[in-house]
Amino acid sequence: MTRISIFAALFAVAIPWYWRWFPELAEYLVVGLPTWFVVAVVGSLAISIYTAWNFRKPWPMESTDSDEVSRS
Amino acid sequence: MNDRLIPLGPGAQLFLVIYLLSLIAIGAIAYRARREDSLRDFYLAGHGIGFIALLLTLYSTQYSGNTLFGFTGKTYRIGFSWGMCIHFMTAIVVVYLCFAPRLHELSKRHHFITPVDYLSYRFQDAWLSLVASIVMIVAISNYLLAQLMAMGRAFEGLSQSDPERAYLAGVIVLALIIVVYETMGGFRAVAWTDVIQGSVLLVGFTILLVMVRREFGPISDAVATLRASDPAKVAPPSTVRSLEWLSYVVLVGLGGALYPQSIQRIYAARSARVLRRSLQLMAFLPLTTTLVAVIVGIYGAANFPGLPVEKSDTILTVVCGHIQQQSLFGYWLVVVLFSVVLAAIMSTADSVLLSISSMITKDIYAAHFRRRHSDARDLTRFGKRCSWTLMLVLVLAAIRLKDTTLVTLLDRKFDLLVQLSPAFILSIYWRGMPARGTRWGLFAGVAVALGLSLLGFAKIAGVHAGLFGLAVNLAVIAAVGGPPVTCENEQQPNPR
Repeated sequence: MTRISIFAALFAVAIPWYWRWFPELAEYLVVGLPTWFVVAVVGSLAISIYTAWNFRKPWPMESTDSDEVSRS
Repeated sequence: MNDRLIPLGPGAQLFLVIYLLSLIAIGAIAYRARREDSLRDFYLAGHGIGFIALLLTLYSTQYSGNTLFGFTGKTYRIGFSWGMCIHFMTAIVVVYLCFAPRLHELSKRHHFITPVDYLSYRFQDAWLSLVASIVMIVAISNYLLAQLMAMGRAFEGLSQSDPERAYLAGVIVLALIIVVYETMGGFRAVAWTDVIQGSVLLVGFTILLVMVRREFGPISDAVATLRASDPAKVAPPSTVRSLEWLSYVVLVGLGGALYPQSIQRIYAARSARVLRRSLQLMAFLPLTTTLVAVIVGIYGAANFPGLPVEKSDTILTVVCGHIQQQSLFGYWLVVVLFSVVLAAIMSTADSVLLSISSMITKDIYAAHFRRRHSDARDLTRFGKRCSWTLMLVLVLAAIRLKDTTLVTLLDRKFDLLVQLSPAFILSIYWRGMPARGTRWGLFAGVAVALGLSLLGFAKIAGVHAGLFGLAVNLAVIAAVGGPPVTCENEQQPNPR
């Protein structure tokens, strides 16, 4: 449930639904791009990092992957 | 405005011919590397593939002609709001987190070959399996059609005089090459060619970004031009567009994770560790791929305004054509980029073709028309004939539907695939999920999604018809119910 809540929060920030209430700030350029778009991209990066972090832990069946060690 | 590239000279043509012939050579090597004449060997490369091959085949299968032509074209039409494509491609990997570990484990234990093998094991319902196969086949045939059209457009961009003939040649020649190496080497050939194509793709997107920056200046210049000429393309999305954004994240996140060809790569991973590490890296690839497509689309919109909607998917060709004319260096960069385009399209098309062939052969032909089969060689031969026939039909369709935009085709595919998410994903968590409810839910979801689309309601307030279908699908599962089915019951082993 914690994982779902974190993903929901990250997508809620990354999807730029709230920027229409801050029109001037939204279109201010950061690294040549509108701020709202930069926040969306940084949000996407955060989602990627959290996803990769969730994939770091070995899955239960890895302990029985006998051929893995010799082949990879 | 010229939406054509300079026709390639003899050196560049030779480069492309060698590249295309190398794919056929890989098909021949893969044919010699086969271990047995079985469906599992042909469709999943026997014991599976390692980390590099899995990562690159997942990558080059997920990112396609749509990414290059469709995404740059859509950005050209709506501006930065198409940044939603970065989110929805990331969402696919997030969804894998929910079901890939368990699905991989089951696939190894029960020797799954096609995606529907999981449903047959889990629900033991022939109708559900049949309808799921048909939904997947229809949905990704649409995707394969989009790849064939993208092949035609890639060649069309090279023609100065007769674009119609170039489109025709692109579709036919590239389709022929794909079907030849695929029927020779099966999954092994597809995965090995994907290693080349995925590498070319990764490098190519970087080259593309450097090229447009060098040619058109910093992105801030393009944004300033666009803000003056078409401010809506720079402004944050409206309420409806934000809903569409969320709708795409859910629709493509669920639907894209259920691409049959991707599910088969979950099966084909040599081990759980190989799959886990590949997906870990996949989470970052939207930032190196779709983000680049959006930026190129923005450069295109700023520097080449005025393309009609039906031509907007050629904006990448317009941008490349301009770069090509500037210098010999630019010319050769575009030649490399053209190989990238071919790699993106062909790597997706071959995976989809193989996946469709496996489902028709095993889930439909072997399961319903040839119950007493025992000869795996005969089934594999049937699968190969199926690939040739399917390719012929879709080539004819690609020629006929030439002017449909690529993103339109993309949407219909996900409307269908997302209806399978309860059967594949919810069933992983809901141990007693009823087969009857799931079957009727799938029927109802597909009917609602297709019905709304056919009635002209492909999106309602930005929300895709597929998601309305999914809501009905889930409601029907809960309402109809049925006796719970647990996956403890072991089925007969699959025909290998």
